[in-house]
Amino acid sequence: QTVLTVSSWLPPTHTASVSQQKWCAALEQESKGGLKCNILPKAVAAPPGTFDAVRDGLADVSFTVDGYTPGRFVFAQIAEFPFLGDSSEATSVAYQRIYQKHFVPLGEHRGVKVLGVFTHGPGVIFNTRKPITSAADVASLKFRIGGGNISELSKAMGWNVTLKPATDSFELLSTGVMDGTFLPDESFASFKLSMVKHVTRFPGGLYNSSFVFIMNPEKYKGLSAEHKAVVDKLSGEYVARLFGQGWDALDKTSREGLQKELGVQPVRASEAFVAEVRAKQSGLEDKWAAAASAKGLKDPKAVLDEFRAEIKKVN
Amino acid sequence: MIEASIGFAAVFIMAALRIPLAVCMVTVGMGGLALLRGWQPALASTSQVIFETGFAYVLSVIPLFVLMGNFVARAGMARELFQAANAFVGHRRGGLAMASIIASGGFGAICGSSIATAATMTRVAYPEMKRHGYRDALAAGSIGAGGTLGILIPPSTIMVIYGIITETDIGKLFVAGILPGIVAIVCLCLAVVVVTWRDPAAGPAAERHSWPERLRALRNVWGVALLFALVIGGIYGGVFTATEGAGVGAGGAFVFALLRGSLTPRALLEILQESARTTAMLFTILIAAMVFTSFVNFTSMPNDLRDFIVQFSPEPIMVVVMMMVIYILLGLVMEELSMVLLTIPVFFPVITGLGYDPVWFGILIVTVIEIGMISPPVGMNLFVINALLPKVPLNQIFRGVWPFVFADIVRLGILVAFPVISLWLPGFMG
Amino acid sequence: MLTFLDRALRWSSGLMAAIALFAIMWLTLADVTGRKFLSHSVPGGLELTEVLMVVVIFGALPLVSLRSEHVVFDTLDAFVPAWFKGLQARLVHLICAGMFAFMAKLMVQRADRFSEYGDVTLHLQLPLSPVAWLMAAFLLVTALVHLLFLVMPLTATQADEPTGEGSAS
Ligand code: NA
Ligand code: NA
Repeated sequence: QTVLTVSSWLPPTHTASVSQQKWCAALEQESKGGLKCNILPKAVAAPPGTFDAVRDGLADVSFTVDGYTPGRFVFAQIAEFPFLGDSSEATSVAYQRIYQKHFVPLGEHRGVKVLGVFTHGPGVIFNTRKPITSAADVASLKFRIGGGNISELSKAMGWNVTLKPATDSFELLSTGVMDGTFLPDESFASFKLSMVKHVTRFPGGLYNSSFVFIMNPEKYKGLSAEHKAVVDKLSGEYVARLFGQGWDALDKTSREGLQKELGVQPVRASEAFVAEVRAKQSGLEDKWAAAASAKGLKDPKAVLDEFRAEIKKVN
Repeated sequence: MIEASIGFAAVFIMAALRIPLAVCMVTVGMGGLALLRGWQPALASTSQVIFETGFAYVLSVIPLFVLMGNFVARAGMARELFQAANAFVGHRRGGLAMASIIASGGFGAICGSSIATAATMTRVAYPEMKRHGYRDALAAGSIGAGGTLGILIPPSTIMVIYGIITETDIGKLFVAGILPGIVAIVCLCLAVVVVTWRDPAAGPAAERHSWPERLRALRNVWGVALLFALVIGGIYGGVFTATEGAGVGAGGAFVFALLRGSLTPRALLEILQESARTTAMLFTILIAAMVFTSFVNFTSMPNDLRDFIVQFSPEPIMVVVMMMVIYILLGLVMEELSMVLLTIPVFFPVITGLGYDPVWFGILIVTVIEIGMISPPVGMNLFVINALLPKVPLNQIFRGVWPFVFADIVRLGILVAFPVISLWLPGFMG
Repeated sequence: MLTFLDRALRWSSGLMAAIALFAIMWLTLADVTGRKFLSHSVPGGLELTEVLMVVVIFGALPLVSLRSEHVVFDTLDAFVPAWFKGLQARLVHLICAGMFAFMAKLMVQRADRFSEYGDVTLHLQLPLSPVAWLMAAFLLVTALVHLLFLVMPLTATQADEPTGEGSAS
């Protein structure tokens, strides 16, 4: 029997940790008990260090957010762009296909075995003050954001944002230090953001994040051919669907359960609002295309179009 | 469980040879990890832990609270706090020790760190106690134990960390700490009474103060009250976070020291360097404890402890009691932040599964952390006092702190038996 | 010699640590007031704080070692024969020197890893590898301080009294 050491930097009850546990259960079942996970009580490294921890064999399996190690992964930024899609599962599966076709050959995630890539649900704007219907409304309040494309976009929009970890959201909002935060719907429930009164949703989400589910390559090489086949079977789109479905389910429970219960007022972003964001975003996409092509990607703009078309197709 | 126990034993054998504790923990942690996972992962993990712990925004509260304590001491404010408490209780046997505990409670209300509170009160209260013929053991013990009030009485860095990893309301945790903080002050003062009853020479009575003197001394604490209002008011009023509050507090204390004319450029440089040195000393241990923790994380210890606990589930309160016993035992030999990071992920689900209130459990966790910080041989507060009083040997400090450890255990029993003490005030919040 | 070294460290790495700590304080204040009154926080303030933290911690480390301020269990001191104390102290310094030098080497490896991937901070795009190099350099100085104790006469261990006479106020 081979034991894989598995680590998660999110609480064990978080959807990403749960999906990882499900992956482990499937692994054990498919290998008829030949492969087993040992899920560690505490993460082996802080989120930004997880990639290296798996590469160095401290943990055998874990997941990480590409944007947590700024400067490393250029291609992955494609999955951070606005208006990708309303379903984490569809976006994740499409992202996985594009990743397999265009990014794998360029080897940006070198040093680890990539089991799959995925994204979270559409990013929304939560706030405690007022209904937000325009870019000017956003500019009038203070927001917490994570990094990546949304950080660049906020800068371009002239919004007053501060970079803080998502786990600080509760404290920032409950004390009124910040008026709101950009997160997926799921986080309202996960971080117990009961002080939030308004949510603004964009068709396809204001932003997203790229996740990668990884394994130590030496560990993989050391497996028997039979066990390798099991891991391969549970890789790629299987991973994208598994994590994506988990996220969608939690987004839905948060949106239609807790948020309704606590009377969070939803706003659907207007066409004009979307157009404003889109105008600023196009500049960022040019910038990304230049960076990606410098790293060896042929015709990045076409890949981006293909990605968007693929999401629609999966939907 | 065996691997972890051997690891702990190895650390103590090395430490007994006078090798700095941090070096012992790094050596054993790295070696143990190498045996369990191989050398390459062990070395990579160690370098990662060093970088992550050194390059951490959230941990900036430690140097800032230490700095604030040093500015406050320089401005003479902690001394005023101590003198006010002293004016009321100093004439009793052990009165200066009680005054230092009460003043620690007051200082804890503007400082979120146990270590910084102990460091500040060491400077203020120890010379007074020494002057009045107090035994080093009682002086160091009361300061060390009083220092832990810094994390029980809000603001509290530990409550912030607990709140983040368990997703518990940090505001409620803060409010929940107030009444247990008062219970703690009473218990610790009773410990002083017991110590001086058994050995009157340990803490001779100081001069009595008249009522006009007492009121004048009380008026002098306005500086502390103002800083308290600034930091706590700022946190509750939504101007800044608890982490940022440390910087604002340090800034406020700097202004006070400046206005009172106690800051020359030379004094400022000394205060800054001293704070940086205390920080470096603490982080060396913190980093080493984190390396050791990443070794324990790969052993079966955390899950073995959970399995041991879960067998008491038919009698839920026994689960809590056994958990507290485990924490007190672990607290003897571990650095508390590592202890919490390692055990909360396995213990917390058990507690909430039994239907207990996470805020109440948070207060219990803070209490066992307080006990761990003053229980020999590994107690950060004791190390801080040791660093600031090079002439007092560590085993004098160890000897003096035991009565206070017992007082804290009694208080823990009270808090377990009467959850209402922790939950009454937060019950009024939304 | 030790007094000289103490002064040298106080005016080099120690001074850097002191300035960095003071800067963290002002940075936090500027961040908070900027956010409150000008509704703009210091861009990348969080990252600057992180870099400054490294300078505070590792910059002050050589002084901590020089003044023997690391936590040491003195419980068994009464049982150690006097003739052995000198040897014991030197052995401990040798072990410390080895460990801190090894840590320095690990941080050099980390620096290499950072530059291999081109890791930077999120907002200001500061490269991380120089930060790891800085840690390595301070750790190496700390190791050298311990090595120095190997050849120094033991009576000089207490260079001069710690300068923290904050107790006076
Ligand atoms: Na406090
Ligand atoms: Na302890």
